[in-house]
Amino acid sequence: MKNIKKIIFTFLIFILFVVNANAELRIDITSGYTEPTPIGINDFIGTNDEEKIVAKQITKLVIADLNNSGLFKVIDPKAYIQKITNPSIIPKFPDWKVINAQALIVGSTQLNESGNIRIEFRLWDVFAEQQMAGWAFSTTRSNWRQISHRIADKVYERLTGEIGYFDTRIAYIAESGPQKKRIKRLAIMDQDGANHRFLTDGNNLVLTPRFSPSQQELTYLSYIGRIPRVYLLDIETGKQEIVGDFPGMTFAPRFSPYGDHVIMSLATDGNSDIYSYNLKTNIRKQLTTYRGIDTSPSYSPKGKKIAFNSDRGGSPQIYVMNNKGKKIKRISFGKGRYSTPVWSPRGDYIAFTKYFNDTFYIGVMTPEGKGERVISKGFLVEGPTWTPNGRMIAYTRKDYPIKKKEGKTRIFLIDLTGFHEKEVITPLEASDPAWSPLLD
Amino acid sequence: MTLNNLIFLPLKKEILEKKNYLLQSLAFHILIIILIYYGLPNLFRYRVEFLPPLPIEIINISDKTTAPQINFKKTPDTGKNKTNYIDQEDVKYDNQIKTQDDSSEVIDTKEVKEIIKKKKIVKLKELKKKPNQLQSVLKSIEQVKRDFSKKKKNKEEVKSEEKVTPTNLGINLSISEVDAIRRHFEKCWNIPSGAREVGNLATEIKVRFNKEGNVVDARIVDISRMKRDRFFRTAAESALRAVLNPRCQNAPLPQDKFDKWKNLTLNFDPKSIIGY
Repeated sequence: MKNIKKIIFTFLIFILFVVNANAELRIDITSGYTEPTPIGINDFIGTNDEEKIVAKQITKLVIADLNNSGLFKVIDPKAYIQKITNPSIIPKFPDWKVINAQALIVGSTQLNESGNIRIEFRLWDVFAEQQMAGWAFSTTRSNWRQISHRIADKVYERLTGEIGYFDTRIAYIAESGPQKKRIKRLAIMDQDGANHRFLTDGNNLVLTPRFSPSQQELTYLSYIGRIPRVYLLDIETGKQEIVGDFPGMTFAPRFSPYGDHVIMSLATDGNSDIYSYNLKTNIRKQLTTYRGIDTSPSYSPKGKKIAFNSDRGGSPQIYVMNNKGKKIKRISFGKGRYSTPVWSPRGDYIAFTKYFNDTFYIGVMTPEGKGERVISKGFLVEGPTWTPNGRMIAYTRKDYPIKKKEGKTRIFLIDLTGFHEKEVITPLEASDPAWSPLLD
Repeated sequence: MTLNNLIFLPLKKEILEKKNYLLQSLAFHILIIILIYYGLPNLFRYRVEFLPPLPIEIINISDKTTAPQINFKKTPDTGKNKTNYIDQEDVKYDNQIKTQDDSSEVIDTKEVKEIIKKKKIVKLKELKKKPNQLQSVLKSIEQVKRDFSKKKKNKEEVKSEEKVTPTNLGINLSISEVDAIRRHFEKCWNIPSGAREVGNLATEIKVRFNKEGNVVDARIVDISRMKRDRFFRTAAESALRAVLNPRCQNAPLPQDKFDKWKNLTLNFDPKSIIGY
């Protein structure tokens, strides 16, 4: 027993020495700066004239996407010292360090006889002088836009750790005409404004379009026959069908995360409640029973909880309940009226519209109601929608009226941190944006 | 039964007699307890007071925060001391010669045994050697003193004051030096904003410097987490880029404490941007 004690004692002393031997100085660095990361994108390389045309188109689109995200700043190609023309060589890193490029993209395009293009590209870490990742894509030449967005997505994901959002579409309501006789049409376009087309003809009022998770369908509110009802639209075929044939007005529809339910408000006799409608079985289920207004429901990313807007507390506020309608909890407590809650696809925030002191605000708060932060304000800002990576919010903005002339209604995009607010360009005035999930 | 007596009977009695002292007392007690629990209502509007901005100046206080330096005072070696020493040496030498003579005399007179003679002869030889050795040692000390005084004179010509310090192993980097390093790398660190779980993304980077303060080698400590967690990977790569950034070479590191900072562990913690 004594021997064992001795051994243990000497062992502990030995450990002491070992621990003390590493007396290296440790310094904590707790602040820095936040600016878009400067990166370099070498022109995609093509061997013949045709390939060079495609390569140039792709390069231009990737640069635009990454610049517009607000997290990257692509250095002007005129400043590049090394011009890489061979995709397999290792870049001369000192040339890129000098212009302060922290990452470098080098890619090449090849055209096959069948008209397909094959794109290979590598992402280099300039300071560490290593390759970070490499990818290859193959598709038809006419699909070059989608491929460019995918390239931007891959680079974005590797550098930020977040899912990209460039290979997506925006559905919105295109508005035109005077205020008293407004024409509203459902429209869809790529997130950078390309491939724009109208989905309805404008004869009936349409509002609040939302994408299904499989994103081949849209659900929206339409006043066909002057009765507001929720409809489903197939994007490819253009076919419309009504959701649930039951009496009363239905509005504020949203899909569940797996696309099997549509959740909406149903108003009967002045009381509006939230209903969940199963698209396969056509059975509807009532989730709230309060004798007031319960509307604007939004599922959490896994479908376990629902955030909604209710005035049961006296003014419109945001509540969270489980997907069976139980455990209702209020989460907004600030001054003002809170509405249109939308749960982020990342699950960590709920975006909302707030109205206080004659001003509208767009804000975010955690699903527990903490950390409320307003990130945009204006004469009219409302209807936030999240990008699929939960990083950016698109919303409707209407300007102040100038000299009896109504302000323009447009869609704006802002980063979760409150920076990089910019307009989404549309052919006509626009409102009620909805961002699609990532295309597979 | 006693409970019944204590509470219900008195209450009954009171209600019957139409006196409600106990009820009043109970009501006041409950009111006080509720006030204690919830607190008094705040009837005044909370006004935020803005303090005037404080001008801040960063001062280097490394001379006040380093360990105290020990001053070895030296007496200047003048000519007088030298001569004194030489005199002493000569004096000693004379003494030793005398003793040598004495011992030799002693040895000459005694003729008892050969062994003793031999011993004494050996002793004599030793004595003869010793003063020589001593003399040589004394001489060498003298030589060193001369050289040292020369060096000191040279130094004195160059510097006005000379401080002898103990070896630098015991002296750590001062607070202002650590702050200077921190500020130096902060300006190169581009924090990934809006990242998830930003409270848990602290990255340790082990850095090796050369004498000029340039980074020779930098590596992330927790590599296995890099493979599992992509948000950590982004944060770690941003920290590594901060260290390897060409703008952050020539770190402001004190030259005389190279041992202390040639291997540093920098912990990049983006907790400060929490709330985004």
